[in-house]
Amino acid sequence: MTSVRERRLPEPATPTAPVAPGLGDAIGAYQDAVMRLEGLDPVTTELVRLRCARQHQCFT
Amino acid sequence: MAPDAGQPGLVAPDLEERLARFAPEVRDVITTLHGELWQALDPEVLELCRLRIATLQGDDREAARAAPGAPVAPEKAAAIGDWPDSPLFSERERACLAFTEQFVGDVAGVAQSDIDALLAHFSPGEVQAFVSALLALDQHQRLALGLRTVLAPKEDTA
Repeated sequence: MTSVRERRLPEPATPTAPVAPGLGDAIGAYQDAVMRLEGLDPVTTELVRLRCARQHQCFT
Repeated sequence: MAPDAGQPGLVAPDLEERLARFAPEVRDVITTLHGELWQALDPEVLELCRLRIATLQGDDREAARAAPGAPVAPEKAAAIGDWPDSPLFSERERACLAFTEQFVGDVAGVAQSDIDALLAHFSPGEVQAFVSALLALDQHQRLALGLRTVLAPKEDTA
């Protein structure tokens, strides 16, 4: 099930440059690196990810 | 002035040391991430939030150290738990600390009023960057605390 929330930050009237352009990429690289770890099997990793999402009420 | 990317001490030293042994590829990306996050907003505000996360999580080590290049006066750091009433904190800092407490305690419970309080002081882009920085600070303090609790010898956690 996908839950869509209303936008909570106003959209800028004109396109603006990101405030911290490297930060989003760095977060993505971190998450990718964690998901590539092989110490835990993929099924258990996914179960943990789903449990965390439920705990934080993240349904996207 | 924000700390330089790659500056030692941006990440909790024991977390960095453990990741270097167990997952060096994660240590590398976390180091890069922390170099980026200190550029996201006023480093003093971020340092106040880092200290508040540490006190909320009961992480005495993290609360006792200072992020390099993000100076907070010692009396202000000592008053971090009293931010709602202490005259040392500005309204801008209070908005960030209130958001931090909600984020750490119940991220799904962040209300529009919490966001609006930030928007009174920051642009939407700055709010987005702040929340991203907060995510990394919170997550990595939890990781450091978790690994310390699970992996450290008993005498180390006493």
